[in-house]
Amino acid sequence: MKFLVNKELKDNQFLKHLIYGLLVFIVLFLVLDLSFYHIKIGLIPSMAEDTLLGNEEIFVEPILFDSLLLMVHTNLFFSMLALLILSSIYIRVSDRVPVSKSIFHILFISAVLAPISLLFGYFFGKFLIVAWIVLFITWHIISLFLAIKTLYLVYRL
Amino acid sequence: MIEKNRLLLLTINYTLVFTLLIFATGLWLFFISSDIKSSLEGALEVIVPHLFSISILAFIFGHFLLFIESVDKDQVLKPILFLYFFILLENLNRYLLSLELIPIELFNLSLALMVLLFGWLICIVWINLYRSWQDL
Repeated sequence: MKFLVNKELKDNQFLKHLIYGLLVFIVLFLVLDLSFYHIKIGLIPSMAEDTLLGNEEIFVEPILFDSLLLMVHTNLFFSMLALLILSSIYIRVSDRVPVSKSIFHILFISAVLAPISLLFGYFFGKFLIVAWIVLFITWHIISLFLAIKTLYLVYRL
Repeated sequence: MIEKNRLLLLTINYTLVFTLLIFATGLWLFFISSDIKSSLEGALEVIVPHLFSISILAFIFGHFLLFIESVDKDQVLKPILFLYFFILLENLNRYLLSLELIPIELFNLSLALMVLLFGWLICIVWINLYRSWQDL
């Protein structure tokens, strides 16, 4: 998104406010994405296991794999766009080297591995479901941190 | 500045990985769905989001090439325009298939051509990014 944020952002109040608005929506997306997945699948291991694998004791059927795959497929697209836009803006508006490269690696690797763990957790069970929860929460917290910091950086410009 | 460029390249690299995952899950959905000759409503449920999402992915990767000096823009423009055409054709064929106006083979052919062209675009971006990374 090189065209989105350039060096003249400081002098361009119009673009600055547009980006500010976009960042607010990215923060909202991240918070609501967490809430949505907590309601739909569950971000507590026992709850996620019941949804994905089913639970005979409380008469819960496992989720249909088609629905899960479609949910992951759609979410991958939106997560990718949100992360691409967020990280591009963050890198460009920060004065120095923004955060260490390893934080970016952790962010993207957890965001890539989370849906893979969720899909394979459906077949191979508990360990991958817990891994999905950890990875999913990790990438959301890092991106929320980046988004809030970027909001501050853009506001300060 | 070099460090910032490296971070941007890193972001683009992970975006490419995301795109491959989106394609993989899309193909997985395609192979497990038994009703490819679905109703008009079912076809539209697939066509509407795909018209926007695949074209925006093509745009994002196409625009990365703008900033890579080693790429001849005139040379890559035609295949990218062909890619847009095949995105449209694939979605149109899905619609026509739901009305049973074309055979499934024609739909599969347009899908395969679109995936091949998209694969080409991803490869071009990846190879040139790798070169830019080495130049930094």
